[in-house]
Amino acid sequence: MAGKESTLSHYLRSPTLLIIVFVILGMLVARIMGMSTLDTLMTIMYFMGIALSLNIIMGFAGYVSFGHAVFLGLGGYAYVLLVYFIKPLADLQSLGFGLGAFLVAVLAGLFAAAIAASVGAAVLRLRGAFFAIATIGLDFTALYLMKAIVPELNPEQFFGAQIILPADKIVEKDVVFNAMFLTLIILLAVNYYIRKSPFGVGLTAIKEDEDAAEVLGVPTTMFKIIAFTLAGFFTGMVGALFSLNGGGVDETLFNLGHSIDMIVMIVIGGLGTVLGPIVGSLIYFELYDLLLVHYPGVNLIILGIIVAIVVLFFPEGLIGLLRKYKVKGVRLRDLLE
Amino acid sequence: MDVSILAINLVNGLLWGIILGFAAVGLTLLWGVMKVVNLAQGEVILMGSYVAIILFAQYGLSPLIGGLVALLVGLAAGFLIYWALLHKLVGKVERITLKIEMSTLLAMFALSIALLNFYYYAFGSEPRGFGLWSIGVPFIRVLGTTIRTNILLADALALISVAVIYLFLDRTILGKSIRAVMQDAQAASLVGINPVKIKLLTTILGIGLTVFSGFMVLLFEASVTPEIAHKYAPLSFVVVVLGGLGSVVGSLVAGIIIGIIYGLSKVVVSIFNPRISDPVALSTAFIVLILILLFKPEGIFGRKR
Repeated sequence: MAGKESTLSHYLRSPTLLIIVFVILGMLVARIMGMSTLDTLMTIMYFMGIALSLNIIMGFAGYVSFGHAVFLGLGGYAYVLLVYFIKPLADLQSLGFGLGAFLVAVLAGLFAAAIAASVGAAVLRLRGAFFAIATIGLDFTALYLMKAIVPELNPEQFFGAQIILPADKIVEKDVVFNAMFLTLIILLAVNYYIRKSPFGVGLTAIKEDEDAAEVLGVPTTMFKIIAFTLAGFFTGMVGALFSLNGGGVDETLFNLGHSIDMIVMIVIGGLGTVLGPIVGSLIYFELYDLLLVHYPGVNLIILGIIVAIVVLFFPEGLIGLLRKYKVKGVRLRDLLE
Repeated sequence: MDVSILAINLVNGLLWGIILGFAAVGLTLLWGVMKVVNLAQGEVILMGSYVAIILFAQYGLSPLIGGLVALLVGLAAGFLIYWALLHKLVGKVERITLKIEMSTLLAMFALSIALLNFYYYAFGSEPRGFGLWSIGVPFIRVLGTTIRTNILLADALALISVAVIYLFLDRTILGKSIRAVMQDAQAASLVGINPVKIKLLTTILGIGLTVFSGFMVLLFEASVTPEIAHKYAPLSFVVVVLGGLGSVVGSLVAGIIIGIIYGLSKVVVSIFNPRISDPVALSTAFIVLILILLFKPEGIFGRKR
């Protein structure tokens, strides 16, 4: 009992946890007070969601999945096809304040997770660039297969790989908000838990030196597959709810651009931390918005240059940079996780 | 089944495969020698296409001169990319660790974001090309099918370029130094090869050839949009992995194999359902990639690591 209490009080003293709670509450307050439009909040949650999902495999285990957009697409397509063809699931969506949509999204996430687990078992044997290339290959395989399969499912209704959900099969946007909000809270909790758990330590060991980790008894293969599956699961869920929010799905969900978003957010924020993707996604959202407003057309060119500067000169990202400093004798490295 | 459909698809696959193989030569050099995976491959290819298009559309220069200028621009771009991005990351490093590899991936990724969006900004998303320009007659009839002369020109240029680069690597001192660094960078520096010089040269050559291949891609495709980058970059990775890192001949052979697999699977799938033949045929290329990575990661012409 005493041990449990001390862990609890330890958690409460952690500024990382406070920041996470602050982010959740801030989102809620902004929603209730109407401080921001629903679309803005959805976009922020979407960005944060995909960054935190990829963080599980890229941030902790150091495996950069450049084709991670594949799970966004798989989740989105799974969700839309489920509610399109299975009536009970379409009805389930409107259950209690978004809980129904959340449950269907879990199903879609499980589909993405199943693909992640089976493909991961094979491609996670590859390291570095080979793994990155393999996931890009996976993304394109899924994209082209979707382009081939979807039009066949309902040739009269589906134009190309695009599916637009009819009005009776979508739910209102604040219901989607609730489901996404719930997903985000779980995602934050999972990220924090992994960071604190032996599992997370094992992943970090894999990132630092996989061979040494293996020798020291870390079940590297299993850990990597679990991390990849979790990353696929949550990316799938976010993709599902993102598609529901947009009222349908098309093949642009497989765009490598979405992988760029995820990776850039984690790199800007800082690899291997929980706060990195949170801070990174907020900065990225603001940056994206700001560049779009002030430099339309060239905004993404500038973004590319900023990413290059971050990679070349601040490879640890913002949180990584802060972690090097001390404030009043306290090392920030112990506080920011 | 109609035999001529099979023949047409195989010939088209072969003609396309040669272009694909040459487009990946620069990538295989960069990857093999410097362990740098050029994630901006598609965008670098497009640089060559757009240079030739601008010179043709704005200044009325012959596309043949445009292609030559594209090569020069590519060599210059290689110089810039080395000093702006790669030197800081890999210039002085003897052994490339996973962490450094990740940094180079991200740096090239950043370049690809910037370049791709520059193309959208400068050229829009409409198809651009040489219009009706062609060398000699526009079409030739071969094996009962018509082939655009520009495609044959592109293939001829690609084959000549591969031959030249092969001879350069095989016969000249500089080429031999590049291969020495590819095989063992440490041993190469022990025998007096300056690694920074070789890395710079490799980047110039690799990027230059890739940009030059953009001219052939344009001749082959007749017109390009920035979206083409997303077709050629992933396929180039497939070709390099299949051919073996750093192998110029492997790259050409792998390109042809992928082209023919594409042509064949298109025929096979269209027996069942012609509407989905193109996407399924493209996806087979990536299934080949994943299979190769799993079972023969050194590729056909690569050395076991």
